[in-house]
Amino acid sequence: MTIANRLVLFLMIILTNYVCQQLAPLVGKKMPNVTTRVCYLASIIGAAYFISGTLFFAVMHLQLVYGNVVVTNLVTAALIALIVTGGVLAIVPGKKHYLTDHLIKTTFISVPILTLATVTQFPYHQYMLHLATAAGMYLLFAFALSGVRTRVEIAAIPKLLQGLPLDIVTLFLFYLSFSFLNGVFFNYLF
Amino acid sequence: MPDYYQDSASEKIFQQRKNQETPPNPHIRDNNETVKIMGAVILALLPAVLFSGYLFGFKVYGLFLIGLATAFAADIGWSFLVKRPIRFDLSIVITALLLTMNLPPSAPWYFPVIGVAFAVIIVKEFFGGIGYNFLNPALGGRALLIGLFYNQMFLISWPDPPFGSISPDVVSQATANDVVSGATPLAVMKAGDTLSNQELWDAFLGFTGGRVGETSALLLLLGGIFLVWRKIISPRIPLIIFATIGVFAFILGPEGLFTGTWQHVIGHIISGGAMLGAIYMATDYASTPGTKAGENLFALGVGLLVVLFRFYGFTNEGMSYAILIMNCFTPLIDRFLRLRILGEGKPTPFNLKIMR
Repeated sequence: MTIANRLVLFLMIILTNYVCQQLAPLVGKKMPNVTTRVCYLASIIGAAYFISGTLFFAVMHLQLVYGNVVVTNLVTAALIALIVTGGVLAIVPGKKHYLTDHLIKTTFISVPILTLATVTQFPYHQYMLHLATAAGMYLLFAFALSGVRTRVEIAAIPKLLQGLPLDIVTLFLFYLSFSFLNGVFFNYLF
Repeated sequence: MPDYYQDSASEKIFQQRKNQETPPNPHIRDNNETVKIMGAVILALLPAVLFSGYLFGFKVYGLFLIGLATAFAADIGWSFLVKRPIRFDLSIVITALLLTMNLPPSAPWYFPVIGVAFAVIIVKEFFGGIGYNFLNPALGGRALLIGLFYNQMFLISWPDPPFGSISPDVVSQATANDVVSGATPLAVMKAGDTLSNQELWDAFLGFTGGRVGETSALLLLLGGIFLVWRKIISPRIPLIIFATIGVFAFILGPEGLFTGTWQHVIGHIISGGAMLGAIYMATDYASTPGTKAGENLFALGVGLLVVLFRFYGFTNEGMSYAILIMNCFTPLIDRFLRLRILGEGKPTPFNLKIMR
């Protein structure tokens, strides 16, 4: 993955966390907590992204290409992502409890953005490995960030760092921490 | 307020204290407790720190001093910047010691400067300081140094006691000419060979190649026993990590599944950063879960990741990254797995409550 791919992933992780942050449970109302909601939403987006990427690879593998491939491949990827998102949302259990209209819209935006920004960039010979790594990175980082945000909420953080700056620093630290997994999957570290 | 109350002792204390800010946790009884805990950890590390100079030369003492000076400078500078009183809680001393112990003996002077400054300011203070950091600061600093100076960070020096070391250049030349072996115990085992009793004994005592403070399993173990005896740490996390590494060292033996020998099991437990990481870094209060079940899960995760890195990774080691990865999930584990509050619903197994 290029640095641009990773930055798109990071932004989508932050978006996933921020939209759920708006739905913090109210006193006296039985609502899922923010962390659970982030994990649920991230799982849906991650699964839809992985399925979309796999289907896009199948389309490329079967050479079902048309027109100006530089543009039409992107159109194909976006269409696949939208259809898959709709399908996943239709079958996923518990959506009435965990999802709101706002979160459904976020899913329909996030999956195509992730798909467009990454799948057309992956090398063909290691495509599925890159796709699985990207989906895994999105999922694990989104889960972990939601946990760290609960801790940061009660800490005395300087105002300058609160919010987005600290979330970006957190994702950078995640990236440093997980970098050794590159050695397992790709036989290089950086 | 009644007049008689204004002159009471409790009201006087309240008036004195009401403008004081509550400092960040851990709140035990007073700040002296934190200092005592940190002091005990420093005491436990001290034999390995002193012995590292005997093994690798006086230069490593210089690295420790530079690390400590940087830690104090970073802490004082940050306190000045955010207009906060300086806390001498000794946690930065531990950060500096642990980070330097994780450096190669051939590290230049600026490695501890960059690593410790990053560890103290970015990894710890950015997130609210002691008690709030989710990563172990020393390991965060080390991860940055590996990112910046990958080749130099993986250079292996060999001890040449007393107070000397064989530089990585000489080791690599010797290895190329096949005069002496420059392979660390972990490299030997990854190549499919078995460690001899002498090699195991050397690895246990510390007379083997490696990073500054990780080679002497004996001294690190004695320090760990001291910490357990003082009830500073629980032996549960290190034992689960060692057990996981040991079991998989047996399962993933050199000749195929379940062919590991006792030399492989012991070799994997006492070599590399396993002792230093499992005893001193995986037991850090702030970056490990707060419940026993959470700690068990954390330790199991660390053990499995160490196995993954050592057997299938790009290098022979992986202890520090295994801890770092599990550190990232510590707040999440704490969020979902917490102790049931007295009177909260029905009693649960292990008094745990899983949040939904």
